[in-house]
Amino acid sequence: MTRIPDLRVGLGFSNEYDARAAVQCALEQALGRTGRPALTLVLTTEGYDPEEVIVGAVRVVGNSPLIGAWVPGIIFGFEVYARGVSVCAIGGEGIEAATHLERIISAGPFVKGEKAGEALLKKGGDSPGTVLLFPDGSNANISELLRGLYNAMGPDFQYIGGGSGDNLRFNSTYQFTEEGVGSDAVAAAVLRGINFKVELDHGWIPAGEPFTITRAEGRRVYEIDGIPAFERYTALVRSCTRNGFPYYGMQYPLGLPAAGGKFIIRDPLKAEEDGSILFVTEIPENTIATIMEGDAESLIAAAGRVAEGALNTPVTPKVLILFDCVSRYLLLGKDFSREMEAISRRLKPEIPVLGMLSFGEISSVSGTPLFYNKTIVAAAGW
Amino acid sequence: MSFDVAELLTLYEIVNFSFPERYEDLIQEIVEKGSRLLGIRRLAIMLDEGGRLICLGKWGFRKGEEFTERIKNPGESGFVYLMSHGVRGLIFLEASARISGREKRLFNIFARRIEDMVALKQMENKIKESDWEKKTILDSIVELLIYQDAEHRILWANTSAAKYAEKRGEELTGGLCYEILHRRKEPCAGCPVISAFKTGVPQEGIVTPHEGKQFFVRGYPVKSQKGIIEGIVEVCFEVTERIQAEEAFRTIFNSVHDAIFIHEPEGEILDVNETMLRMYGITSKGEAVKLSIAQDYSSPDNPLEQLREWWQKAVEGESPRFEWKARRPVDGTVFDAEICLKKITFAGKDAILATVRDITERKREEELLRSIFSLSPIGMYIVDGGRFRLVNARFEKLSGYSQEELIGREALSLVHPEDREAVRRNAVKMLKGMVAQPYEFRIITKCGEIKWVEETVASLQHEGQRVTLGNIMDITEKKRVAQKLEYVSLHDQLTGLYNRTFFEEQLKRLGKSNKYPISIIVADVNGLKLVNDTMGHHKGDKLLIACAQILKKALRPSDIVARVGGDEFVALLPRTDEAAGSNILHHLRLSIEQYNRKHPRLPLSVSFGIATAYNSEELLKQTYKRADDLMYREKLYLGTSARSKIVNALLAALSERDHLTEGHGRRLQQLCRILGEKMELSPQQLANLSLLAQVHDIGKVGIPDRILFKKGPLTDEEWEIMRQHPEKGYRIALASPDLAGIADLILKHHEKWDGTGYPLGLKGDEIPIECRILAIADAFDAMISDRPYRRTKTVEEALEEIRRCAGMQFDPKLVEIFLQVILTIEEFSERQKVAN
Repeated sequence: MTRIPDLRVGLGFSNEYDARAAVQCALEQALGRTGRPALTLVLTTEGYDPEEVIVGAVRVVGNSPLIGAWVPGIIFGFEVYARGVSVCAIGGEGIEAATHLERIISAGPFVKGEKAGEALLKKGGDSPGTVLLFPDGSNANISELLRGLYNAMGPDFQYIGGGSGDNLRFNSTYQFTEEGVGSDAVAAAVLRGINFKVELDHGWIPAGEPFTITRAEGRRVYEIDGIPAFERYTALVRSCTRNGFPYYGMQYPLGLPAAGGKFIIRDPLKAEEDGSILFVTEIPENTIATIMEGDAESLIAAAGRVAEGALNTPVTPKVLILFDCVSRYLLLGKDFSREMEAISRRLKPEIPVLGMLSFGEISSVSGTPLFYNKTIVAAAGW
Repeated sequence: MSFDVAELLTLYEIVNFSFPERYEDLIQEIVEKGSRLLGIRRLAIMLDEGGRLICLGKWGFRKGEEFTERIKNPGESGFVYLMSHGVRGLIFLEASARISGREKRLFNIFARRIEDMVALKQMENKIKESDWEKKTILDSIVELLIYQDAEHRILWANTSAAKYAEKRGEELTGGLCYEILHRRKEPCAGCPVISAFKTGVPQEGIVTPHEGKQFFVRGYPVKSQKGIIEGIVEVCFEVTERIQAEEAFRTIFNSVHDAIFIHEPEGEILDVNETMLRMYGITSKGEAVKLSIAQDYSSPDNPLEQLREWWQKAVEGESPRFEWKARRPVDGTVFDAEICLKKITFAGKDAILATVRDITERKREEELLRSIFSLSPIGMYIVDGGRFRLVNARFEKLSGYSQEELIGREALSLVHPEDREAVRRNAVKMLKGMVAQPYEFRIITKCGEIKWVEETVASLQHEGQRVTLGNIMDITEKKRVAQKLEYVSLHDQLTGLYNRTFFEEQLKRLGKSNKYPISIIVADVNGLKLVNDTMGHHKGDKLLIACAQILKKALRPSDIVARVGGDEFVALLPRTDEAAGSNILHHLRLSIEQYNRKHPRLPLSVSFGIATAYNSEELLKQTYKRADDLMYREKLYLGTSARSKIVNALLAALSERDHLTEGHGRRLQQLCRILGEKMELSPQQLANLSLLAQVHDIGKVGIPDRILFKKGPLTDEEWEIMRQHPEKGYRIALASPDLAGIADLILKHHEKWDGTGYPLGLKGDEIPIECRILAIADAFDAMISDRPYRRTKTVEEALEEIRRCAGMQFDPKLVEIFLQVILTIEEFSERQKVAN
């Protein structure tokens, strides 16, 4: 029987320019509801010095665990903010948390994942809980990092999170905990005493014949079915041209088969001169894939399903956290408000919502943590 | 039946594995596909190796988590696939929930694919290992292996070849053998590889790619199935050193001083060296090998039977060595030789090597040495196994034992039991070359006399065995002198106690020892100078000897007592604290008192000081100084009283000795007082005069009885001694506070008015009035008293003599007054007599 904890969640947001002032302002709003938090989640958009954010936060919450990252956008009150600082303070009796910042994850991501997992077990113990993850989504092989982390922590944990990134300028991004700030890092926290119902969906469906990724390295796919990737892609998406690739790539991502008849989406980012295609996230060699398609309706419907599934909890949740892919936001454009509406419709007004536009989404709904693209992950906490 | 697209793609992808190089990458790929496609949350691949399951890879199990149990009990969410029915091992897959039938099928396909992959990988690894083994074997061969074609182009070479060429292995391939290996522009002359190509059969030989560098090369043709030569495997190794060694051997063979014969085991000579030709006077090797060692090269006087036995022993592998009478076949001359036989391999066959050494010279030397041994003035012996084997005449004489008695006797039995261990130790050290100086010890001769000897030993080969040669010299006399010298150098000759040198050494030694607490007593004989000066050194010496004896008697054997100065003694008392030291000192004082009771005439007065050092931090020298200071303090304290005691003792001794002069003193005192009063001397002068009258001759205590009491006139020498007494008296008086005031008067009491007196030769008024009075009174009383050297005079005669000497010996004015005084006294005594 699931224990219903004495969970108290407080949210806050500020878009003041000064990092310290912004985080302190947001925290003041949040802590009014929680008292001293067990964990403070801080999401900031680019432009807020993470060191200053930590200094400001620590002044308010002391040395209690803190985790956060730069994100492309903040969802607060179903609005998306391209500038601001939001906080989610989680406290209450029996709520425990421990954090860890693992740096330079692009060098041996599997081993770094294992190290991060071992550190979390060492700091927080091995009893079941939820692992919150904010990896730098712009560089490392996150799938491999997650497999390493899972190999250390195992199936007793639930894993959720979102890729950290800037405002699509791809300059730099930061992840942080109360221990400090990193780039090319993963900020991780293990949280106990809180239940999460997690759901994910994307609304994309297969739209063509399967093909094989015959040569790939990390995020770069060189050959598909033995011929240059771009050449094969344009053969599959006939209307696609090199100049029009950013658009077509966003419209027609790749789907990799996944457990339960689902697909994991891989988002093409750039067609390179050498005929290869750069993706947002790595694609393993010898993977079977297919072209996926979707539209605003299917995507928004998926968001609704996600909210519905997540909110199907035994008691009213105390918070809903969203990891919504930045690519969906860009693709939906003005229709993104409809996606928010689709969620809010299913939500009791008293349930606070905090979210982020993410550079890839993490969920372990299929059993183990996987890294998704163009997907929305919702986690309802109670 | 229907399939959804995703499932079809999943199936498609399951079978679509890549084939990575490393196991780790394969496992990563399996994990990626398994977790993504099948939702597998744990997996393990276990290989069966000889009945044991070895984990090839696993995922999803925490560090230290027991996963074999999970495999044994998979439950509803676990799936176990047995590879080749379990022969090859198993694959364990775990889903996040109960496994459905559909999942089971997919898991089965996935596991089978993994099995294929692992099997392929294992096979690939085996092939790699096999290739690697072959390469390792060829690379481990130290010889150079080169596979080359007809143009000498290298097709493959091993590591040794690459190392020799100073290149990497792959750099050799394609290069020309002679260029790469030997940096030549053309093949080496006579290279067996060339002839192997030509003949099609293996060839071998020595090649010289460069001057001073030789290689042994063997070429093996490699032929196709049709018999066509495809290449040559060249095996080569450098033999420069071996060839040089052979040349060196040949040089040595011919240049050694021993003649060498190499024989067949049956006796036929195969080879001889140059020395052999010279030694035996043979002109050529051809001639030398025709002859026989037994018949031609040996004197017929040799025991040839014995030679046959030795020969047999050599054939059996022993190396017999023996002396032999060798013969020169040319002229029949015979010389002494030492022959050693040894079995060797010569040109691949068994042979007997005979080395012959001309020992004529050695024999002569041996004879000489034998003579030296027997005639040496040094005792010499040879000991074998600890027992005498040979001794010379001198040794017999030294030990008192005859040769027959000594041979076979244990050598150490002659050594004094106390010295045996040291002798054994020293001998071993000397034999090992650790010491070179002779060592000394005592031996006990046959007649029981203990003699000191000095020995050196050396190890030498005697009749084929290692023995010890010993040389000993009798140093008894030298030792006795040395001991005496040592005694003298460390002892005070007068008292027999240790001297200052010894004391200082002991002070240093004890300072470093652990014999603390150490007490030091310093003793100083009071008034020794006084005794020496007044009574002569022999008296002072007696006092010193007495003091030494008291000290020696009162102290313990472990204590060290030394005379460190003229009148100073020091006793070092090891392991003696302050209380024990004080106790010893108390006993010393008692002993002195006891002595003084027995010797009242010349009492012993000693000042003492004592101090104790409790550990080495307190320097013994400082302790000594402290004791010395305390002694001086006591000396100062006793000071005059000690000296007075002596003076009193001297006066007592004087009066006891010279009882005749006792009345003289009293009378003299009277006469002097009367005369002094007449001269109106001050009361102090009168007191001094009275005292002077009593003690003026105190200096005579130092004059031997034979002079002082001599009947008859004194000789000049005796007078000389006699005339010293005013000076001696002066010194004694100075030592006594009671007499110090009249010391000057004592000194001058034998001066004469005319300056002919002694010791200063003063005259007239230079002579103190007290002395002038005493001189008259003394002369007068002496004349009317009996003396050993003359008869008594009457008063008148005496007065006449006084009168006669007025102005010469005596003060004339005083003489007049004296005459009046005496006459007055005489008249008065006459009147008394009449009245009575």
